[in-house]
Amino acid sequence: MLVFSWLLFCATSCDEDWYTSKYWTSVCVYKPANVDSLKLHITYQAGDSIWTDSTSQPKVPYSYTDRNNVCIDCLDTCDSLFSQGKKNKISIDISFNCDDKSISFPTYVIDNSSIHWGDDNINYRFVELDERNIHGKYTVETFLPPDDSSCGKFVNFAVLRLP
Amino acid sequence: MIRVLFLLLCLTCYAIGGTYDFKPYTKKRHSASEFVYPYFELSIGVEHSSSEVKTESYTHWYHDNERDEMIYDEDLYYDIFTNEGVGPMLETKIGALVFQRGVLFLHLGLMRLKGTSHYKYYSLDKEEFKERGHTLQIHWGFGTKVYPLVKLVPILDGLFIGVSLAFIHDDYNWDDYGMSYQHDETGFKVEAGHLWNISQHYFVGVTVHAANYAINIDTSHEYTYDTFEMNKPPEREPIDDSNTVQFGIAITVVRK
Repeated sequence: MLVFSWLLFCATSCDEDWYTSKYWTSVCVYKPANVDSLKLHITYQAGDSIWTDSTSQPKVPYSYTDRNNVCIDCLDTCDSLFSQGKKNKISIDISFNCDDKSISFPTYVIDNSSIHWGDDNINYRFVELDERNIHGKYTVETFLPPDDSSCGKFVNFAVLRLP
Repeated sequence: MIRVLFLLLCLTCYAIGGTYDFKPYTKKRHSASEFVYPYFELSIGVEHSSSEVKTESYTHWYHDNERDEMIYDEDLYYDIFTNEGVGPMLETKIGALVFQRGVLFLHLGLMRLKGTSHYKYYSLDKEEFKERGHTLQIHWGFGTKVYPLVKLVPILDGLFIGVSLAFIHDDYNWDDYGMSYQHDETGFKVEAGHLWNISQHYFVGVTVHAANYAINIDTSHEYTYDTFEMNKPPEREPIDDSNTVQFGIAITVVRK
């Protein structure tokens, strides 16, 4: 019983990834209703060091998705990358698939010059903005409509930054 | 000689004291029933009610679906609800009349309003949902009223003014339109009128009243944490402090 309690305590409280990471990132993309699937690709860069990660629907390993969104969290890797004190940069590429068509959104770039690169603050959501249906605190950074409107114009596809 | 003078002084005191009829002092006891009387009031009349509630946009970005473009508007609101109605009202007050001038009471009322409710998602929307029908409102509370000119100005003997803290529960279909407002409101009600006595204890008169209510708490949803979630209503406070304004006139019967 004692061992079980200790394990349970560590499972809930001693997740070192979250506990010790000074720098971590979380990016999620929410799928619009008229889109069949989507893909998220992120490039993390610190000086000359580059790390990439991608996910799509259906679910791929090391990412979590549900029916309407895909997310990529970067913990240890981003901590080691961004704690080097070099120029940090994250490039986010999103693409939608609908009716055998694929469209790409403009690459969204976050770097030292665009935001304050502090602790626990690289937390972004890409959504179709309808304020009535979004709970939580966020700020609207910009809108990111695709150049190709064959899947839809997505003029309300917004980049939200979470605190 | 001193003894003689002391004796004369004692006799004088006795003689003076004997001229008065001393009675033992008894303090008169008053019971509460001598200045507190039961009070009962019934009012039947007509009520007008208008309600409005809306929430100020946090982002101020509006998606114009018709033109398919984003519009930034500093005066953007969402979850906009308005209602206006008229109908019969019935109200009772039960309490205590103190010193013939003041009344402390509990009140309970019911009104059935006929009117139109408007529901709009965003202030820039052209689409608006209307519902015509009856709305049942129950209000209750407690308060006080005074008859300031009793026994002072005979012709205005029955004049009264009153104020109360009141609560209403209404049955608007907010939830049907995804609007997460509360159905309970708190406010103040003021009234004035005049009564004429028709017997020793019964009075009949006219009352005019007005009330101003606001939604108790921001929304009807309670959240335990503030994490980002889609397809869930935002937790923000409605912009209107005064949601419901009512006024009416009634025939009042009082037993005091």
